[in-house]
Amino acid sequence: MKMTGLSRLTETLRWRTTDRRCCMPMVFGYAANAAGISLKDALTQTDALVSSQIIAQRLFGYDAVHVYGGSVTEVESFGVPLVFPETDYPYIDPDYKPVNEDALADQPLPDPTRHGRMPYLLKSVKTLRQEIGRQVPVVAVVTGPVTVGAQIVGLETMLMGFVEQPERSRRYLEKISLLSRNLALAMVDAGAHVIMIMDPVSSQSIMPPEVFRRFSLPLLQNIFRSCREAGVLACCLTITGKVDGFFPLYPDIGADIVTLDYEVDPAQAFHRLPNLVIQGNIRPLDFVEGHPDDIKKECKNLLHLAESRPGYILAAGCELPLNSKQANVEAMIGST
Amino acid sequence: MKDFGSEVPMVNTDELAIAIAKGENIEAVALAQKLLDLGLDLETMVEAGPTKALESLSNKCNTDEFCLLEILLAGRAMMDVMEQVVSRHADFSAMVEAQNRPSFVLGTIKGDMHDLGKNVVAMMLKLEGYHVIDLGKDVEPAKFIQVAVKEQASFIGVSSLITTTIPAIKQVRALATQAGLDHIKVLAGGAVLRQAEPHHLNVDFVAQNVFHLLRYLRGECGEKP
Repeated sequence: MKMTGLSRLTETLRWRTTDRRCCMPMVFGYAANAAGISLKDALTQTDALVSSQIIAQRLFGYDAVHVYGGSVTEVESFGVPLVFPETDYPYIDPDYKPVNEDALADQPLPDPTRHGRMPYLLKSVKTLRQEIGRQVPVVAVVTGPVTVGAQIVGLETMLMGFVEQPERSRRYLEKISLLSRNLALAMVDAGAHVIMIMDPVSSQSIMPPEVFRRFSLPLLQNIFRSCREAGVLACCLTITGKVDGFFPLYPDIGADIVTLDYEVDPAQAFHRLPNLVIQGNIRPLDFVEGHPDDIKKECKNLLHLAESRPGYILAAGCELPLNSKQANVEAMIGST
Repeated sequence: MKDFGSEVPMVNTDELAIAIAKGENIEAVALAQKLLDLGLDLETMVEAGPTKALESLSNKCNTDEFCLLEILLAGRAMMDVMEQVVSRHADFSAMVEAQNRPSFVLGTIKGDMHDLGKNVVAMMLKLEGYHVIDLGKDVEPAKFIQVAVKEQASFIGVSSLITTTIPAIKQVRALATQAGLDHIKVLAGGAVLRQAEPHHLNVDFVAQNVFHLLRYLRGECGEKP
């Protein structure tokens, strides 16, 4: 019997076999492009976001829909000014001057139900859950607190602060993580099946494992713990780039699923993370520059490697690029 | 431990390289000054300290054991040694100008606002002895060419973190050729670009990271510019 995307994910989380391999590419803004909807609209209007996600999911048949407002959603709620291009994600106004870490710690905490574009994202989760949530899991994406911190105070300032003023760093990051946690909980309350924390700055290419352990790990643990208590189906951690140095810490984070970028050896990850569902690690650029045969080959290799591992989800370990070729996305789904 | 002869007491230059590589800037400055006070000549100190530290970071990079935080800390320690110690003992800017260093035009391509990786590259290129013209972020392809002509640059470095900028990156080489600048090497780097082969981006080289770039440049320019 053909399973739904939701049942495929549920069974994968239980490490049980499915009718075909669960396939959950991170289709964020690409959904708008595939659906012929303005990306700017999909990032600012519930109807556009919901329509683009449903159209793209039905077009390709993958196993999840996503609610993502861009990596600057949280900083926007702190009052950081953004620029909204027509065909790309919003970014921080180049004239923005990063705030002092102490000032950030003292700022009032934004409310996910009232500030920035967070209310529209919550409404999108709710609508998607109502529209297709019985068949397809709704994945709500929250930016990791360390990434948000880097955006607000500046990455270099934040990294140097870890070394020179660790307590000060902890103080403002804990403040930000309260927003991340409150947003995640509001997403769960609105109906999200999965909370995905995207934390690209908590990458091994940016910080050594010891810094990750001291600063990122406790914040991520706290958010995932709260989501579990609120009854979320699954918690997912997405850190792009190399992460194998963090593997000894991964089982303690509290995530059910961890994504794996193309730079990490999947065989090693399967071996070293025997109890975590792994999602990845197709090379994202291949969806843009590659040929469907390249994608099929990558998928075949990954599926072969994961043959005896029910806890694997086919995808890239990073967002599907905005300018991906439709034939390449079809090739990935066709490989399952 | 190196013995620089009977006229100079035994001095441990390794400690300086280690302090720089570990990012201990205050200790590095003190050690560099101490070495000079003990009679070590400036050039030897620079070779044994900042240069050796850069090499050790490069070696770490080969095994993927480095990260941005370590580079920032080591880069700051190197800069502090150069600015607070070396420049006191020599007219550093005059030395630099006299070397007739190759110019390197650097920027994040149009459509991309990420610039931290590019800033790190600029810092390391300066430490390596290049004259760096940093155009910032969201830079039009034609701007790279205009500045390269004006500065008589040997290299153009294009950075990006997102795939939607690839068409603009491909234009840089084409515009350089149109302007008769075939001799200029166009180099690319950044999280997304490093997934690509040079011919995909119409560039001469794709750097996996800053040290990969430095090794390429040493091959192009000799050991140092």
